[in-house]
Amino acid sequence: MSQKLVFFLLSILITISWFKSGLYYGGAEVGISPYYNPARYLNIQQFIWWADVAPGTLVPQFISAVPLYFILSLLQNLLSPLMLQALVFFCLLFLMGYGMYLFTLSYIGKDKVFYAVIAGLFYMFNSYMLVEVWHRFLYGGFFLAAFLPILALFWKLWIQKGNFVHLVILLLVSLISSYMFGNLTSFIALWIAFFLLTLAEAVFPWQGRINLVRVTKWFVIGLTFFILTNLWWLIPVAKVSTQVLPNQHSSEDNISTLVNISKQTILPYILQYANPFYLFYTQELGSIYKNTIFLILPWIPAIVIFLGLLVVLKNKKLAVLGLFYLITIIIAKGAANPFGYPYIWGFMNTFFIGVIRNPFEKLGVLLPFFSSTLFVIGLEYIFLYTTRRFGKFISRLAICIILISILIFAFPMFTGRVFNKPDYPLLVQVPDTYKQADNWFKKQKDIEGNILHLPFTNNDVVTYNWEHGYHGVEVNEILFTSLPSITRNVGIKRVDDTLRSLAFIFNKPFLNNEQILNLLQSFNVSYIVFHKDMRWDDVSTYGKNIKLNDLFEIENTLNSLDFLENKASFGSLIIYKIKDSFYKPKIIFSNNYDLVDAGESNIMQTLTFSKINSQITAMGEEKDNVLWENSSQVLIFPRTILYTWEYSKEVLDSMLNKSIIDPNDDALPFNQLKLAKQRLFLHSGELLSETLIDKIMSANNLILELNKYRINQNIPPQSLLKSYDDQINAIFTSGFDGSSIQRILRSLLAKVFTLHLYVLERFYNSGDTDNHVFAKELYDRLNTYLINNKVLPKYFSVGKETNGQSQRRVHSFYLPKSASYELLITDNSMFPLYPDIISKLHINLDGNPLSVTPSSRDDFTHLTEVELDKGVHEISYVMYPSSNLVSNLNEFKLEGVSQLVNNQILKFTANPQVGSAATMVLDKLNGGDIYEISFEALTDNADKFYIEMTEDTEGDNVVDNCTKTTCYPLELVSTSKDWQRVSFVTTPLNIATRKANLRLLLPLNQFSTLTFTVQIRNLQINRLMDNNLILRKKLSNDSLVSSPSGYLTSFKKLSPVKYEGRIKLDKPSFMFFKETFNPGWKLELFKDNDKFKIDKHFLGNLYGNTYYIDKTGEYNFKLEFEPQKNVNLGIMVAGFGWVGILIGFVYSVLKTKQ
Amino acid sequence: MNITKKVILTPVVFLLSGFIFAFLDNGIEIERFDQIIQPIFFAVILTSDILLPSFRKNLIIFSCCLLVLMILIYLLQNLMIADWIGRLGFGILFITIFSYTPEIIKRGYLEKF
Repeated sequence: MSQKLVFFLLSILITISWFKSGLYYGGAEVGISPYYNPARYLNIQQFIWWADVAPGTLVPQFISAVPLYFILSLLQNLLSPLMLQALVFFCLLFLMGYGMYLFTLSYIGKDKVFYAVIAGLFYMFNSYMLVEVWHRFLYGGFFLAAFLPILALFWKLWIQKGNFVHLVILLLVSLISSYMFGNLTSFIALWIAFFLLTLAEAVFPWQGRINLVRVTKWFVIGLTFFILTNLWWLIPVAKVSTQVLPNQHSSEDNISTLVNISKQTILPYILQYANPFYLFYTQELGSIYKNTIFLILPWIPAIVIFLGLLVVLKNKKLAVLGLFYLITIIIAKGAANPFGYPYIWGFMNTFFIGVIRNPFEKLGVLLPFFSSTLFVIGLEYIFLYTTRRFGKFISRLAICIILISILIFAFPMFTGRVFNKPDYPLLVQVPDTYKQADNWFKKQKDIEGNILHLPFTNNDVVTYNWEHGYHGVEVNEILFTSLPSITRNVGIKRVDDTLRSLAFIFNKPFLNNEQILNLLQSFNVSYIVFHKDMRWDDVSTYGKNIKLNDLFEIENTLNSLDFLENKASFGSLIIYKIKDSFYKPKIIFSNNYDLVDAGESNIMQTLTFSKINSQITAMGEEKDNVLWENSSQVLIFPRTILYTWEYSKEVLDSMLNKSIIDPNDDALPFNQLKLAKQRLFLHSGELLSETLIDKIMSANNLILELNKYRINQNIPPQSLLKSYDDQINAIFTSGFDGSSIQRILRSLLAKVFTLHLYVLERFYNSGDTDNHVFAKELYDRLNTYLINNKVLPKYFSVGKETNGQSQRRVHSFYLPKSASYELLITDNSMFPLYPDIISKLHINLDGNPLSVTPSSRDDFTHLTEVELDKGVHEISYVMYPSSNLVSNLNEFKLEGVSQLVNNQILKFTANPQVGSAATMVLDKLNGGDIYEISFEALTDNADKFYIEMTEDTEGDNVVDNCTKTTCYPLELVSTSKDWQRVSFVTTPLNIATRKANLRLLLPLNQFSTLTFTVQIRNLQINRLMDNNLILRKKLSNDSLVSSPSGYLTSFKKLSPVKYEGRIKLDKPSFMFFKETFNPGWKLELFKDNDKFKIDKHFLGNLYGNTYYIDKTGEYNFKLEFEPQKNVNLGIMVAGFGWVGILIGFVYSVLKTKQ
Repeated sequence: MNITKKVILTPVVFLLSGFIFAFLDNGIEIERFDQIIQPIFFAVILTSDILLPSFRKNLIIFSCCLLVLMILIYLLQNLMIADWIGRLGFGILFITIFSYTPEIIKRGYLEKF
């Protein structure tokens, strides 16, 4: 009893200390505390489709949180959020300590209560719990750490005795703690512990085959019941998450994370359970952790644990714990040396293992779990040894010092500092105005639709200026309970792209009232809540283009819209309502729409072309052309855009020769690849791309070798061609598709492999031996690989009779039907920058020249009308630089000690006191543009020079020397006395950018007494021709406005995953259901006793569901999200599991009585 | 174990464990010579653990010394060397303690190191 009291009182004291401020904790990944409104969380998370995070998203894994939210929702009316959170934290703390006390007691014997208590305390206050559990602030981690000892204890008892009572308790505890299974890694950690405990019972020591069979039997029964009773969350997670996960992380992402995290789990860190990121780099728990004494403190328990490890090896009951601890270190350190490679191997070969890409965070809790017992064994050994050698006083002193060292190291646990996040404190108090606003919504009668929260940042994290601040996942769906909230992105690329439009349309340059109304209607918005309490200029949260969140601009826009009414204000919240006459319901019918294949276009471009009509997109290939036949116009944007280089034979030969002569010439593609490896991939953890580059470089050497034979007109050995063949196959059959190298270096690879194709082609054309025939085979195979992996387009030939070199932008379109299409080019406002643009574009269609007769329209140019067959087509044009945007250096405004010399040279000087800069304004820019900036530089001492490009969408033009704005640091050879050529291409501008400040900067040199100078001449800023090509087919002359072709006569939302109602169709129609597209949404119609399944399911308005109903008349309908049935199935099977375990329990009781 | 058995087993255990440790540390592809130093070292340790069991206690002491040295070097802020020494020490400890596994399975504990 007294031991319980120790943990009880300690937990109470810590909880009081944590909550003494009267505030609760929230923010970061968990969002606002789930204790704020658990009933609301319960309502949302009992479904795997979260409809209240409008327009809806699939989240299967959090269904496991339902039991916790159910319990909390029962307490919600009795306790405040603060009290709820305090109660849960108290329970978790108590369970950690008391659970470990009981677990240790089961090993060391009931006569060692004192040491078992110490084990419980060590488990509560070790550095892993301090940093990786409490400071990391992930609820899954809290629950796993708290419940692991008690679950392990009951598992151990079950395995030892086979008593169903223990198993029933275990399963009940796992049900209560199922919140932790929201992260599948908790399940893995738990079962690693269970498996090891079973192994201990089965073979340590070996008690014969009978014992092994007995233990195995209990293990299998336990595992079966555990899985059966957890199927209610396992089935949906297993069935649905497997579809979701690969979209979120690729294998290469996982390996990269693993390798980089493993740099922080090297032995000097992991043996002391330290997470260097929080303790030493960000120092979120205080700089004191870098103090020498604090660097020493965690080693004291680490040494005691290792001492305990050696001692237990001589103890019959405990020896196995020593082995398990060593295994746990190997598991928790991930890919760090030694023995780290199996992790990488596993990640490469099994995608699923990727869930443990951060092994220390996910599985590291096993370290304190196994070591707590070892710690007290070590402690006991020290006590006995020192008593023997030095007497009781010294031994007690030694024990006290060890224990105090642990408590001192864990001091943030006692002060509440453990939750300290310097930039964004975790303390939260939601302003009362939110409750008032929510109550206002509750009082509105018959409200429907979605609430749009502005500013919409297209991010899932937000920073508010509340009294105690808030920074974490956006949670308006919890704060506003009456309607679903459009408040953050939903993690599905297509939908997030479309939602991004909401970040643009309330601000220049996309401000367009019709467009705003159309989008609001398309997203079923009925109310807008404008948050003036948002810290809109938080660059670290929203990225550099914060001007798009400007509260003043957005409020002006909202106030000027005649279809909005300002309905109420609550503190910093303003509520607008869409006037009833403009509101459009969740389900509408139309047969007037644009058929859109959005491809790689940005959302604003798509919407601009589609004007204000609805859009429908086919999912995959449409078989019966129903979309085509009913649409007003067909808009096809390029699905893939590739950049290729056309070189003359002379240029190709010269590049190949130079590659042999000067392997350090950075202008050559082969050498650029080498540099790219060093800059981008070496030590980045992207092992696959690193390996692929090595293979490509080997292939480069082989192709250069082959070229030598070709030039000397010698026949190469077949082994050379065979080696090349092997290398090429190895590159393209080992994960190239989807790799970082394919994504990042696509255009460089196009250059590299153009050289390969050229050499192969020249070689196989030079003879007809077996080698030449084999070379032709190789050419064809390589070409196929390059096309299939989207490195080169289909229609591409090397060594053309062109002059010098030129770059092509190749647009690949998929056409749903053979027809005559208009070919359009976007952004014609840029054309004045390109003299004789049309004649220089050299447009090709499927590799053949296409003549065009351009005519300019509003914001695009009609190039020609072209007959195209159904299928894939490539249309390309030559990209060439615009005229120089810097006509005169006088346009630069000089700062500091910069000078303009003879109107020809800009001279920048910097010393320890002052730097210099020159700025010019680039106006009339076009969003998404890229520029090539080049100049010649003469440097004296300076080895770095900066070019800033501050866009009008970025924060105020702060002179911040390249820390916050878009900036390009350029390296100069400080020892060179010659003019150096510098050239680089900018990243694309934000699509809302229309103006930018270009600033050339030589900052003051703080670390040198020398004077630095940089002179610049021949400065060129050229826009790269990067306009999109679009295909359009107008099919109807009707006004491009959606017209209703059917009506909802009744509509009822039965749940977030089920709707019913009645519809009346005047003619076959398209039904737009304004919920995020998912093939799981199924529509059924009923008439009399007939049931009709509607399987023509399309993407509507670039995010939602659209069904084609080929019927007229009145029907009852049912719309249901079918994957939710997996949850029902899981609950049913789990129910059987519980019945089974109860039968086993009763049987076991009866058997015992007999 | 007689001498003949030892003579036969030594290269077999050394080579086999060398390959396994090389894979555990670096995978199949070895790019640099220094990548096989540690696996060779570990192979020597395992070979001596199996063939010279009486030497194991010294190896445990040696590995503990290396781990203590790791702590000292870590406190002197030389992380790279601390890591290098630490993984060597931990590796030796791991291999040596696991070489006792048959005995632990048999008796449930070690009578002596």
